[in-house]
Amino acid sequence: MRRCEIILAGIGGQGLLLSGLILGDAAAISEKRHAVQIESYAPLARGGASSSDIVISDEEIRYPRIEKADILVALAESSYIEHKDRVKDDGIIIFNSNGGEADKSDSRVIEIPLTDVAVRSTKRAITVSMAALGFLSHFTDLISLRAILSSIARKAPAGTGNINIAAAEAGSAAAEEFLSNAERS
Amino acid sequence: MNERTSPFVIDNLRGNKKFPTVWCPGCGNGVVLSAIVRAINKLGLDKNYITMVSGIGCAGRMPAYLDVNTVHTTHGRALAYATGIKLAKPEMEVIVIMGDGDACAIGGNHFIHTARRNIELTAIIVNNRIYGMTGGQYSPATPSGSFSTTSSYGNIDQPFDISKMAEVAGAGFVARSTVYHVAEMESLIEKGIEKKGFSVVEILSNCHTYYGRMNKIKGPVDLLNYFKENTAAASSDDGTKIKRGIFVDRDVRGFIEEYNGVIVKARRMKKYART
Amino acid sequence: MKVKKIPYYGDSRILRDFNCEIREVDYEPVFIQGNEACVEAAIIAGLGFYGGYPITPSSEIAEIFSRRLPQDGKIFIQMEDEIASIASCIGASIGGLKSMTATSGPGFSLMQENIGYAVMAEIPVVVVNVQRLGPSTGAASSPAQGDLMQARWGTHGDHPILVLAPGSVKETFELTILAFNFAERLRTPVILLSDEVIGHMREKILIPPSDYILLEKRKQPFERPANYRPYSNDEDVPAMAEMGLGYRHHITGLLHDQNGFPTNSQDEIAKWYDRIYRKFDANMKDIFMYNEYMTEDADILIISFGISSRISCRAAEMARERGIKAGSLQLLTLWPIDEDYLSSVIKSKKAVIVPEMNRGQLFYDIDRLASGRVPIKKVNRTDGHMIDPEAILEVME
Repeated sequence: MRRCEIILAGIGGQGLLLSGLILGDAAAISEKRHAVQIESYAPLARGGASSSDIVISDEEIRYPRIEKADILVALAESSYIEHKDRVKDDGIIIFNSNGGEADKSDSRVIEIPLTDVAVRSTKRAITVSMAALGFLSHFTDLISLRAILSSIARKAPAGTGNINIAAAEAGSAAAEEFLSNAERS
Repeated sequence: MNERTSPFVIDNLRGNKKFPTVWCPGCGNGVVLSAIVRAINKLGLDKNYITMVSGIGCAGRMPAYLDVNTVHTTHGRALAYATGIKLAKPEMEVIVIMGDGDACAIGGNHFIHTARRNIELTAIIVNNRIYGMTGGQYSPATPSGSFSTTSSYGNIDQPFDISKMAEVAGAGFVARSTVYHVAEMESLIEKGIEKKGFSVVEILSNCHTYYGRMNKIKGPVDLLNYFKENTAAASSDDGTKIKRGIFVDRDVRGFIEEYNGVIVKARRMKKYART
Repeated sequence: MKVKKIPYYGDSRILRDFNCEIREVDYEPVFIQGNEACVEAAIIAGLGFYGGYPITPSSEIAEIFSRRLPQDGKIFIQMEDEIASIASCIGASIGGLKSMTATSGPGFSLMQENIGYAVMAEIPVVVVNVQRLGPSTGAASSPAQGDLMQARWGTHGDHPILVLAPGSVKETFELTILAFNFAERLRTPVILLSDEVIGHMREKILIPPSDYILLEKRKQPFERPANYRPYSNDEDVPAMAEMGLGYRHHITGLLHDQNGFPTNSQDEIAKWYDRIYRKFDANMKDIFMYNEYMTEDADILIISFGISSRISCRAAEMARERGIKAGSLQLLTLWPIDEDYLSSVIKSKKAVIVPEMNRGQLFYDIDRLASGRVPIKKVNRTDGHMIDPEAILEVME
């Protein structure tokens, strides 16, 4: 697979930093490819803007930064506004519709109520970013759900493995549902 | 290979080190040096397992003369260096020599925190109440009103009570003596080295060259007499005099003892941690 | 015996000579931050003592050591400040342990005097500076490369020192191991100059099995204690005797004679200076390290270090797409530099660009080595962000 650039963005408390680590680890270790992840976050642990830039490639990655992202996962409206111009014209923006509203005329946007998906399966809003990864795994050919799950098992903090796995699976199921609805309509 | 020290100072001096010492004739540092030698000898320590660490100042030059492992560090940092040495070689008896400026001004923070950790070191603080090596400026131990080359109108600062500071910061053993009370000093140093945890032995010493000359106590003998007349045993209730003797002698676990507990805990947790 | 080139992993400088092949499956793949890689490497290198004080963006190093070192019976101590941290590390090294501390700008400033002590007394120690932006408190979580000159000349008095600068997580791993090796071999402090991006960036690296890694130890004396001279001028790097074995000697920050005692002798002092510079010159081939990328036929050479070199490589690629022959030279060793090599490389190019996240520090040396024969252009950025490759391209055109 060629070089693929992904931005995971949200606000502090949505589990962004862990999901960035999981996605990078899933690609680099579970799928034996290469990955670079650079995160940025506000000094406050809850509520500030938070994002993770991830580059995945089959080859060693010389240039670690995102030039134009292929995929943006925006968990909040503010993250969508902040990062939308960094995404390619033919890129994909997976937008959490529970986090506000995206520009209706933006053809790149796919709206999914990710917080609802996460809360329905785990009762914890913090797992929303893991649901996003699950969605991503089924919706694109970027990464397999298996790789995500095995990374969660390895890397998630002790005691949180099960809920994170449940959220990722729920996200994947939501993508399946989304795709079959799209086919029907 | 056990190399015992000799009770005679001369036998413990370094053969290849150039003499005379850097100290002025009559300086108290020589008295302290010989008391340390006798204390070490009484304890039967092996020269190879003694490390003497010092900072900068007149007292800081002391280790160089003695035939043990010696480390002359930067100004104020002797205790931090000694902490590293002791942790690397816990079987080593580490004795730290500092002056009052070295230990309490530039090194004050390290002094407090070394006492707080109660790490297994012995600190001998030669308190001559002035910066001698740099030419007689006032130190944190210079009494209020005293003259020095930087307090021409009399010192307006309050002096530190070094022993009290060591006590409240958590040292396991705190004692004070003077260069006049040589036998007492020797026994306090011996007890300090023997004691586990952090030991502080403060020794009031004479700097006739600067402190004495500027404060009208001219010769070394005058200063020794001053110590004789103006100090009293810790048990005495004479409030006008500086107290000598043991102020603190408590059994608190030292840092190394505590850290060994950490190692045991960490190993146990590693064993049961998921791989 | 020859070092087998390992597919993908590349750098053989940290590996021992083998007569057997290392297979890729022998490596442990991990996806970790630069700061974590530094810890893993230090542990493999045989670190025995870490003394530090918390500071962003280096704190992960201390946090991980505090968990890991006691598990192996090694020492972790949080000191009262950065001065005490470096002092305790030098003390532990005198006591025979490989030791290191990690910090960032403000703490690095506090350490300078005692780094000078380690130079003077020739004590091996590794100091990691995960650079952040600005003088004083600056910006704690913004990257910068502003401490280059400080790493070289931070402590007072003329002195040589070794400064290594990784540009990736993998290089952080390798250079940390080399930092310990060079510190032990040369009896010197070694500065590892990382930055906030590399420290926190995660990348995949393959960790070789630890018994395959080449580790160096300080030389021990073979003569009897009576004849031991800890600062002998007979060798470039005299032996550093282990404490407790009868080699009772004096260590001081004063200028000293060959026995270690303070001296005012002009002759002794001059010889000491000659020797501490000589030990670097004699090892120049090993310690001066760099990475080249498309440099051979390049007309324009981009010389940089650390994270900026990753940008330089991209800029060179973009330039070539536009028909400009550009290449990137990444300096892994910032001091000492092999001036003969570097000046001949610079003079063989039509122009040289020096991008760095400061207002021009590496530039001074490159400009000096060009001796006015080749135009040297700067690209600088000091707003807490990485340089854009476009900015380098702009200067080219």
